Amino acid sequence: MANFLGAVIENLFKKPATRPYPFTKREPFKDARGLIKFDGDKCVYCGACSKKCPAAAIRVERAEKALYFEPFKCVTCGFCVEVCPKDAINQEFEYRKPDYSKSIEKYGPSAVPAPAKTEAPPSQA
Amino acid sequence: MTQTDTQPQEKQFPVLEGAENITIDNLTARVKKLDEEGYRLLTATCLDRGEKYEIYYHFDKDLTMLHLRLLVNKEEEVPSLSLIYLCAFLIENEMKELFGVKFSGLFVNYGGRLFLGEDSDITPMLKCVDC
Amino acid sequence: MSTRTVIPMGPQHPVFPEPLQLKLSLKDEKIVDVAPALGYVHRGIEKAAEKNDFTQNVFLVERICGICSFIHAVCYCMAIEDIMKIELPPRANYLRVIWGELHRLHSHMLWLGLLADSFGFESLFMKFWEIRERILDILEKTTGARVIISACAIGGVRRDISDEHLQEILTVIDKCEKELNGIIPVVMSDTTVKRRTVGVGVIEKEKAIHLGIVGPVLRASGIAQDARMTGYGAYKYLDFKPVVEESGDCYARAVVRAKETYQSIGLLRKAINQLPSGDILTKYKGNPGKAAAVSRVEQPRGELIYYVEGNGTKNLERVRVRTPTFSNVPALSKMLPGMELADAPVIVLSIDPCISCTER
Ligand code: SF4
Ligand code: SF4
Repeated sequence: MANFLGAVIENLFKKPATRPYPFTKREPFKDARGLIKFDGDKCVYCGACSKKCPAAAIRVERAEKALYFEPFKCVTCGFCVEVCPKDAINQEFEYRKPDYSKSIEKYGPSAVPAPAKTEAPPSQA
Repeated sequence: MTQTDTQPQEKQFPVLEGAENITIDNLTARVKKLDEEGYRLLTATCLDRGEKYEIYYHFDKDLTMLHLRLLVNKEEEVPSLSLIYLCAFLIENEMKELFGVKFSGLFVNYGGRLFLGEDSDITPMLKCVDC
Repeated sequence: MSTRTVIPMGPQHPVFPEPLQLKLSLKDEKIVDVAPALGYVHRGIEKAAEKNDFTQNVFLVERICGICSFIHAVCYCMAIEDIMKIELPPRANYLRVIWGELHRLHSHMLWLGLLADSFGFESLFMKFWEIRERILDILEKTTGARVIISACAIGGVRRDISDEHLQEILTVIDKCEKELNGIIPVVMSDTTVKRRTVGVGVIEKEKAIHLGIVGPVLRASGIAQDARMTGYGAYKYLDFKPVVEESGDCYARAVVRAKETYQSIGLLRKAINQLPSGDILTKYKGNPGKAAAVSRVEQPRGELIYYVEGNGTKNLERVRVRTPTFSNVPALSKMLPGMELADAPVIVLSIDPCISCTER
């Protein structure tokens, strides 16, 4: 055990390596891939994001100008952000908070209040 | 890279570049020879080609890969390599389970329940004809 | 006493990070036979990869393994690039090496920690994981995520590393190296550790090839085989030499991995110093044609092989993944018999089992 003695003594006088979460929180890193937010006004409902999403978390209804997003299917890969031609998708640095239910977010032009949680399950799911 | 075979049936499928064709009859002899030469068996890949299975055996020696290509009818039994390379038993059990390839002389037989559960579908990796 | 007892080890067992079951037949305390039972985490990823768009698969294959995820994506992208004849910009190749080696570094530290844990050396385990956390932080800073970094794309990489971050990587690995210098000797020369690992679970050089083992396990048995020697990506410029040990026991495997952590640090320094400037992504058009390609790379656990076949549409005909643990599991049936039951956790851990990889 002699080899480890140095580490043991060091450990005795060191501050803890962990943080007392949730009292101290680490700031999210800049450019971390966190939760996804859509901008219903910029979006043209082209459906490019829903075709490319590897988790099938987005459904775009072109006729009704609506975008349904299932945040708990999203794997925060950021691929939709890359393919959107209108920069209507914004990826924040924070992670998504846990929730009691797997809600579905509906986005649309701002005449429709957005984002609003709906209970209507998307047909694709 | 795409080589088109002359036979009409295989025409629509690509062949891996540099693959060496073998048949069921000379498979064991060829693999025994490779073993003596010091090749490592990397893995085998099974593909569903309609009436047939196409199986690639991938070998390696001194960082050069060698591929053997075997075409078999779906009912035919393929001789198992697990007595030459022990590690083949897991690969062959997987093919048996996911594709339904029949093997003769498997060293350890999981009976088609290596990965799948008792009540799941069998041979899920076959191409679905009507979907 | 000659009656046999069968003890099911796992699927939930303190040393297994993942569900694997081993049915151990015992005669008194000695293991006489072992049958691995798999199938607890089969997710059908190969099938799913046929149904997805080929660009989406980059994110799918990353999820095969939670530890070496980036390397899976690299291997898949290499196969697609081979089929579509895409030439990578040099900077992208180097960035792939940098992230790949960071993954190897944190994976080996995870393993060294688990090894310490498997024989009850908890404080050493905590030490390794503390160091590993710094690597994960640097991954998150440069790519945006801790383990499944989604930084690889067909034709290159999705993000660049800024000079500032490169500098930070250098400082972090310097710090890690200093800290590792304090605890790696514990793994290498401590009597307790040696008593538990030397001569345990031996695989001789002659048997190694027939058992199909790969990666650090193969190198610990005296065979210099490492897919990085093929010089894929930027490895051809980095003058790579594999780490080889002769004795083939658990101790040799630990030594190989310990030395490889230092090697990765060296490779990282070299890659960062040589890093060329320029583009990071080659644009391509169309879908993969009717062709097949095999690509292989070295994961922390060994050699990873992808067979990818396109059929001219955006879907692929077949994606076959041969993960390193898949070829290391059969070796357990030769390592375990003859050993004591108490050695089983260390032996099983010594192949660094990744069951999610194995079953896909
Ligand atoms: S971040 Fe990825 S998974 Fe999430 S919605 Fe966008 S494309 Fe889909
Ligand atoms: S978010 Fe962007 S990609 Fe998706 S439908 Fe709207 S405009 Fe198209």
